[in-house]
Amino acid sequence: MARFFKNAFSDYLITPEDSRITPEGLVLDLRLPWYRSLPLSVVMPTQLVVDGETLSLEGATVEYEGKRYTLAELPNQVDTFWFIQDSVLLHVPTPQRLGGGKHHVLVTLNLYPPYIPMLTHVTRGDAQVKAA
Amino acid sequence: MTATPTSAAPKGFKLGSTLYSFTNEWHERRYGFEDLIAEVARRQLGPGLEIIGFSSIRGFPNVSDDFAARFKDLMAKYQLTPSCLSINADMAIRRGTMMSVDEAVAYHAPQIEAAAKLGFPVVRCQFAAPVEVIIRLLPLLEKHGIKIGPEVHAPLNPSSPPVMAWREAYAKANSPLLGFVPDFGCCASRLPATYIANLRRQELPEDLIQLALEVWQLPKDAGWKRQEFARRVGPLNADPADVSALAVMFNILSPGTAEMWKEIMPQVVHVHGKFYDFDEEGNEASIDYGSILPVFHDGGFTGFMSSEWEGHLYMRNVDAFDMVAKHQAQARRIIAKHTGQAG
Repeated sequence: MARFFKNAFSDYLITPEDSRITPEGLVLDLRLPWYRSLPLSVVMPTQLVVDGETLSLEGATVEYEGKRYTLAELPNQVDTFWFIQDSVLLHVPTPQRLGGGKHHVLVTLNLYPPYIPMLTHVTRGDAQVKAA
Repeated sequence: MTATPTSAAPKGFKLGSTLYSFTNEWHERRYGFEDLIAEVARRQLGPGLEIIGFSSIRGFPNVSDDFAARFKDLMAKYQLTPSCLSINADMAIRRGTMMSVDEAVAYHAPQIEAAAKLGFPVVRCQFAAPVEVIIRLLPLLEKHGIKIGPEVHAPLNPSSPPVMAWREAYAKANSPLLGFVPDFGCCASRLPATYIANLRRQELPEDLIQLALEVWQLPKDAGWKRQEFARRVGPLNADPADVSALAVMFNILSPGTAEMWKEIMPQVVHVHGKFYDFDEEGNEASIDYGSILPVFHDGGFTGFMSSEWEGHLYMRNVDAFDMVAKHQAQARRIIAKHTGQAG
């Protein structure tokens, strides 16, 4: 894995013990990489790399408080605040079933803090996640 | 002479903590809201307590009657005083568009109501909203007797154009409730050595680090610095992610002097005592508190200074409560020395 810049939240972005890999895809437990709750409208997963291969986020959804949002729906969620002590689940279907054992997973999550117009806050985090 | 931490507190202004200092403890879910408050009290890091509504309170700006009652009970139990509620001007909540003034007024109003309900006498707002929004909210602030001020944070200073616009509008509105919240990160002398060490530990290219540090020193705003930095790194074929990571330094700390605060001293309603790290003598490593605090003491500031530790941006596994204790100890030393000399 090439070097990437870690901010203070990088090592906490993915919680591997609460993430899983199923025959259908990945379900990643993500923590908010920011110090205050933010509306889902300013949250966007932008990259997923598994074992060094970039996977498409086509068909991915973000689950929060029991509701699932496609990535295209996220920018409209101005009233749903991701509370700092909650996780969201990023569901990403995989075209082919991932093999058993551990997989190296890297996620890039962009935040657009709404009180700092023009800022894109990029967090990359990685973890080993076990396939069922 | 026995001096308890509280009795030795600076006479002019009062000390306190913002829960922002404990971002890591909170983010890592090691502490709940009440645990943080209890620990602040146990370590004697009050008496002022500042919180960020959108950080600490689920469902903010809605505050339930039960939550408000419980919060007031906790303040009484631990002998803490609500000092300031930090609220947010989420103008770009819809990406690509900015809220209108009407929308921004409607977005701020419930946050001010929350401050009233929780017993906060001061609200910290943000320059992202135009001053017109705050002027429109003046009747609500008057109804509750709440003071308000945008945070003068790096890379701004009291005479930056956005701050000047607010000062002019304030002069017309002429209300004692309208003020400012200085953040000492914009009168820094240098970047903390441990911050720079972290950049090196992350293997950012040394020539990029050096360029960023040179640009940081220049007396210009952050936008200009970002552009200048991008221009200078242009020929180096740098990774954009590295450039962006380094450009953060222009917004967290900026060079400035203690004296610059005199211009707005009568309008200071609250202070963010920003800090990162300490030298071996226990003095803040990047911000010259020895010059700054006497200016506020002599300037007649009598509100609260929240100890605001931001070293959590690059330091994990550091006890934030210890850092705040060091910060307050330094503040007490400085004021004791200053007032002793003054007779």
